[in-house]
Amino acid sequence: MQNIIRPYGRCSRQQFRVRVNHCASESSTPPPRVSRAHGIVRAGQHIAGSAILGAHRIKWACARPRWALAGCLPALLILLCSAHIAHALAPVDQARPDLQGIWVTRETMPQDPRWKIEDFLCNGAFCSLSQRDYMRAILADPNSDSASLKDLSVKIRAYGKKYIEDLFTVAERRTSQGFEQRNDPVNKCVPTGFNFAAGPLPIEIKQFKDHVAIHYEFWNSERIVYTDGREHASSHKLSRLGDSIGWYDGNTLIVETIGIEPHLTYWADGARSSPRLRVYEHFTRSEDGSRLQIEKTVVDPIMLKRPLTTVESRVYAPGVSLMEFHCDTRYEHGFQPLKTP
Amino acid sequence: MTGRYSLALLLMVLAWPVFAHHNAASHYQLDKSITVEGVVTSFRMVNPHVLVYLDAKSPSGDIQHWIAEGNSVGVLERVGWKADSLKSGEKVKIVGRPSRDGSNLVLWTTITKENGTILYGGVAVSAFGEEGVSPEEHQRLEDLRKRQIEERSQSGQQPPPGSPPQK
Repeated sequence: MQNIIRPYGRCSRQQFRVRVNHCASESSTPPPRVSRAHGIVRAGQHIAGSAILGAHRIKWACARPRWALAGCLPALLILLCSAHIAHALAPVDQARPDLQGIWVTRETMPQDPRWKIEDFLCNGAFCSLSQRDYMRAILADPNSDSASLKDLSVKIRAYGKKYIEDLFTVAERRTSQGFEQRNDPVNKCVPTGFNFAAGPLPIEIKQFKDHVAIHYEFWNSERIVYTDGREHASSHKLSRLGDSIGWYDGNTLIVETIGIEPHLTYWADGARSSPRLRVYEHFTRSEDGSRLQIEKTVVDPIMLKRPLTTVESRVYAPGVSLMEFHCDTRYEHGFQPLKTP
Repeated sequence: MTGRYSLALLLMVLAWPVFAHHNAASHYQLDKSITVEGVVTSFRMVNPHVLVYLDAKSPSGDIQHWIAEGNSVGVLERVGWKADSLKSGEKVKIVGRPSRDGSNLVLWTTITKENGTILYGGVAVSAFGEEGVSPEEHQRLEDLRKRQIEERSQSGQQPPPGSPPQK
């Protein structure tokens, strides 16, 4: 279960999740994509499947009256028992976390009592793991008790902004130079890129035996994450949502995505990703089932000095329906003629 | 049109929004605040951002055309907005972030009607204080904060050793 993903060296899984940046300089060993647990699960599946198949074959044989009393029934019972045992040992379906349903942001349901202070101070595409740690330290510090939430918010945001900007490489700075807002592709209804695929709108997750489908209301997008153990497509053309494979690790769905076409990252003025962008997402549902945490680690050796991990929380909202997202081209015209002489 | 135009660059901060549908940081000065008062000429419930067009009078008396950009339709409809939430001819006061390039664009956080009704749901809703968060929501957060502090005091929990990480 250890060292499941190590995009930047020999970090333990805990190190990777909590202090990914400390591991960044160690090496650049490609991460193994399938964990040992995943292998055990697949083996368990195989044993269970074989046993059930064998039991069915003997059941067919036992339908012949001649053989029935000659030992078929005891053999059938033994095999059925072993099938049940093997099935019980194979945690494939039972252990798979249930992530299904509609998950919404605070913007969509601002009055929901499940939102915590932390969700207001640091949540979403701009909230780095480092910023969250900083926020928690601030909130736990009695010296901050007299400060207003607004002051804390300012302090925490300033920290997070500087943290992300310090990650940018010289190459990234070069790409963002000369960027003008009127050149933002979204002005022409070009959908936002991978790192902002969900936006503030609801998402719906559906889990199947061999894949997970994530439907984003934002830009009416659907993304398929293959969980059947396959490798990335060898000849995948760069695309907006890339090529995703995933696996389950305990109560978390881990998704690795490559083949993402460069796009504005939305972390700073004109910041862009490169074709070497690789993203790891951890989808974890809370114990009470009401919240979904999406921890996203962006690895882009061209644009970022170290990986950037952001954290987003959504709440379960079965009563919400996804709406159709239609981009209106009048938006484009709205930006053009208004500059005051 | 008797709209009054006022511009106040408040150097107090507020807005590193939790979400922005496009690169708000590259379009708007998120660490500044602007107030525009004028008359709505058009209101469009469109994606990716709902747009309010308004005319405002500059200090020299000229009429200037402004666009206030808000959240997406999916967000605003879910918090109660409708296609007729704003009507042409209505006087409004819009608070938000000024554009980076000097265009008459504002990323609105609140819109106040002439009768005092405040419309929330702007992009920078993560801001605390007078912008973006309704008084009820703000009060709930203050209560949560108070409870958090009380619980920490009662449990005798010590703060983590050392100062908060700086990087």
